[in-house]
Amino acid sequence: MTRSRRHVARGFWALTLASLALAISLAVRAPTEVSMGTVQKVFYLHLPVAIHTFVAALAVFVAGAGYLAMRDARWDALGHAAAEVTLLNGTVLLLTGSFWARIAWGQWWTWSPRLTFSLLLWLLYAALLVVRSMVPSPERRALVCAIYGVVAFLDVPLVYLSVKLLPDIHPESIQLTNELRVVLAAWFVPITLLTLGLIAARYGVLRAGASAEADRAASVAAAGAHP
Amino acid sequence: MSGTRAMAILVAKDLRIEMRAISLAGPLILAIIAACALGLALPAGPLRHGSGALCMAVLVAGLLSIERGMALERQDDALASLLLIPAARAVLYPAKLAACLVHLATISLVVTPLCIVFFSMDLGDSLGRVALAGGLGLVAIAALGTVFSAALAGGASSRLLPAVVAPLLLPVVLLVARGTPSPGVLLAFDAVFVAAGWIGFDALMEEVA
Repeated sequence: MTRSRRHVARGFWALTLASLALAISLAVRAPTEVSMGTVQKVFYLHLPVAIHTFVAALAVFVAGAGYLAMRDARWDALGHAAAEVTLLNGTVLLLTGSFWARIAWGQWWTWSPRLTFSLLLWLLYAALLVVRSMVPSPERRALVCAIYGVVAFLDVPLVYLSVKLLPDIHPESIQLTNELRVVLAAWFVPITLLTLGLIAARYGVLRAGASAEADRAASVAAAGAHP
Repeated sequence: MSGTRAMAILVAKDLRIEMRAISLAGPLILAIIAACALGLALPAGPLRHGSGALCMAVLVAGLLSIERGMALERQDDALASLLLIPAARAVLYPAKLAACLVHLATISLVVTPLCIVFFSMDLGDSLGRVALAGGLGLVAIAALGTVFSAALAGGASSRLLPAVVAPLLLPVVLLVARGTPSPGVLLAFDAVFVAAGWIGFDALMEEVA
């Protein structure tokens, strides 16, 4: 990484941490919601993480379509990085949702359509990463994962539409006062920066790894040609 | 050779191989065992239990059957030889898909009456809707099973097929089992699965050739 890039990266992560600190302080100071109590504050993290799980899944879809169209390894690296972040966001989504469910519905988990399709989404991207580790040929692996990433994205509209398509106890929307809306908006900033930053950071690591692997293979080939 | 004729020959070849090897017997027995086990575990009554058990039995047995079919094709590089037939490459995916659908329909025809009996399913007026949803579900299993069995065939990764394809198919299975409100959603899934499957299968055949 060049010096200027390193400075940009440090600035980016400093901005992310600052916006996260601001969002936390706003959430702590925000008035407590009457019906749900303190646990309602989980919602400030839950909704942005849900949206950014979809954003990261969209990045996997775009990367998959890009690879199928162009067969460029950079698309594969982007798909890999975005799949890892989808899984991470999905984990936080399920944990915060489960915590919310315990207080709101009295149980950690219920087989409501939205919860079921959200769990499926997590499972899909976990399986995608398992496939990645099991296919030895890089070209075959990239192709299989590209098809998988495109098809897996179909679950995203289902998560969103499930509450409309099937009977569900998960709320379709939540009414917030203007003050609480500001807090929610403030939480979108660090979560957006974290999602994009983590995808970019993992993409950089994966590309560097691929480049080092290519250099090693070239030097082994050169050594074989000139004993 | 026209595309239709090439496709008919390829489908007939796949079905003939299956009949000679009796390779559908294993998946069929597995489907019956799954239906029996779920019948013991779940109470009879709600239509959802019966349709869910039926979907799971067909999914598990169908994926096993698809994996076996592709393993036979990979033996002695039969797939590479197939690509030498004029017009075969363009219709290879639809031909494999059609052959898979025949296998899945056979498994469904055996397991459905069992589930109706085990779960005391009262289909009544919803028979047509359930049959349509089930048919669209079979297309989804065949579309993805065909392409991923080709992608993972050969080596240890072929054993991963159920783990890879089942999560992708679970949304469809859930919609069929829960009684999707409109077949349009299932049709949309099928359209994307077939399109992605065809593109992916062609790309894989480029590698084989």
